[in-house]
Amino acid sequence: MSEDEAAALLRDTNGVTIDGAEAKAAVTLAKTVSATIAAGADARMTLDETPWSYDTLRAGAGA
Amino acid sequence: MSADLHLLGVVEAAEAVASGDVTAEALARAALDRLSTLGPRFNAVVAIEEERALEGARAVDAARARGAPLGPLAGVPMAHKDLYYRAGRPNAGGSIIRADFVPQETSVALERLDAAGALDLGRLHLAEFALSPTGYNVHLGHGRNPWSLDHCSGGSSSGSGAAVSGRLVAASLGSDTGGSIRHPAAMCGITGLKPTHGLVPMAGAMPLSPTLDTLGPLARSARDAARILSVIGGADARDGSTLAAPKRNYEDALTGDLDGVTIAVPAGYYRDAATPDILDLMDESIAALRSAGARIIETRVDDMALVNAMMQLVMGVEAAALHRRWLQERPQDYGAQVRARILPGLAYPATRYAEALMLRAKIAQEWLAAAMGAADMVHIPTLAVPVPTIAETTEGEPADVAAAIGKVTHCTRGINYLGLPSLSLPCGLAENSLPAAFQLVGRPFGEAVLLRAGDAYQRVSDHHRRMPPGC
Repeated sequence: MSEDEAAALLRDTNGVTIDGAEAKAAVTLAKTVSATIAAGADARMTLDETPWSYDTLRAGAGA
Repeated sequence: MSADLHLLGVVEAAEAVASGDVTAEALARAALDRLSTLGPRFNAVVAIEEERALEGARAVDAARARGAPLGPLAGVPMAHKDLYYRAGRPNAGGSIIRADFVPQETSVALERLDAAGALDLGRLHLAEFALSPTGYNVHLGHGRNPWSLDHCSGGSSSGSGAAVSGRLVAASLGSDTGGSIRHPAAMCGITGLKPTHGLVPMAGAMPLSPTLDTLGPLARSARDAARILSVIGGADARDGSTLAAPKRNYEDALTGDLDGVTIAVPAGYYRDAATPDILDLMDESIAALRSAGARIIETRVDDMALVNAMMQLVMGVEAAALHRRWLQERPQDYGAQVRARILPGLAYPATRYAEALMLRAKIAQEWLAAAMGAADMVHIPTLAVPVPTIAETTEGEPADVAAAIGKVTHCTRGINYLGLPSLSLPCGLAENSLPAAFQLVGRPFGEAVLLRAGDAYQRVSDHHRRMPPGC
């Protein structure tokens, strides 16, 4: 993604207008982090067994 | 005694006031003097509130004179990171964007401290919008470390760390979203407690990332931190995340020994990043904990990439949501490092954010199984490298600066995603003669055993008593 494309993405989706280089750095980082999370989720996410609430874990510990 | 009043910690000060050995007003005046003389040197202070402090002190002294019961923090001089709201008092959160903000409510934490008799002497420095692990703030200037003014104080609770370390106040409240209590505690040589997410109500404190934000004390000892946590912890309807939070007296847990307590020391990710001098200090602290009665076991954590990514995404998305309007209208009013930390939050897919939240409990359970096993807590460095200089984290090639900052958060940020409590304890001086620290990480709501271990450690060591040169 070019700097102009990254800047356009942030402008169009969030209304934030910033320098192209800064936008590209942000989008690049977001892509890298997202890829890590997607891989982690692929290995763990199930429809029925995901203990989706952190509050549940914490409440269990506090009980 | 008057010349040494600044040396009194939280429990000592409260006991001295209760016994009549010293007045709250004398304690307040001693702290106000140090805040005004040493505070600027460390760039620790945003505003001193002498009138409020003396009024509160006189109220404590009057209560004692008439035989009224005193709270557990009566007369204790404190000041807090400038993100705790007090109705009618300006609160800028380290920014210029919020320079004119005057909250209409007082935070739950400050209300509880007030009710316990603590004195609020003013507002302390923090990183802009609480978004820097080093104390970076282009508007207020960088926080400075009392041990060496050229070195980072740690952030984002930079003023809290410097003020407690320099003996300007007995203790201070900070906040911790990715290490912001533990960084300044470690870098300034004091004790810092990041509670379980949902133990201390966040209502009335400026948010950064509500899923990760926690409030807790920076103090001179684990015992002092225990007393403060006993006051500020517990459920409040204004913060629904605290509804399962217990209310207890954490000092009751401080038995002085660690008989029956098991501490896990994970090999891999944390210790592999430590420099040799830090590793030596880690091992010395483990030996001291063993001498206090703890059983030490070895576990293993190889990789924190997923946990760290989850933390980075959650903080980025939530911060971006909170700041989007200002990013639209006033992007130039953010410091460059701060804006760079928020902007990626605008670019994450919503599905990734949902996955990060939905998998939080599962991943926390995975980490607990690997790092802690059957133990009661985990021992890891707080800071795996010696305290960096301010120049190392602000000047030079962007990649080098990013790497230096990344090392600061290596051992801390993931713990916030996991939501776990962590107690940072000073454990000596690194090769650069600045403080080093380890953290004890517990299970959800496991603060009592962490504080017990911290207190036992501080009974067989004296690192927490060391003061910066000239203080």
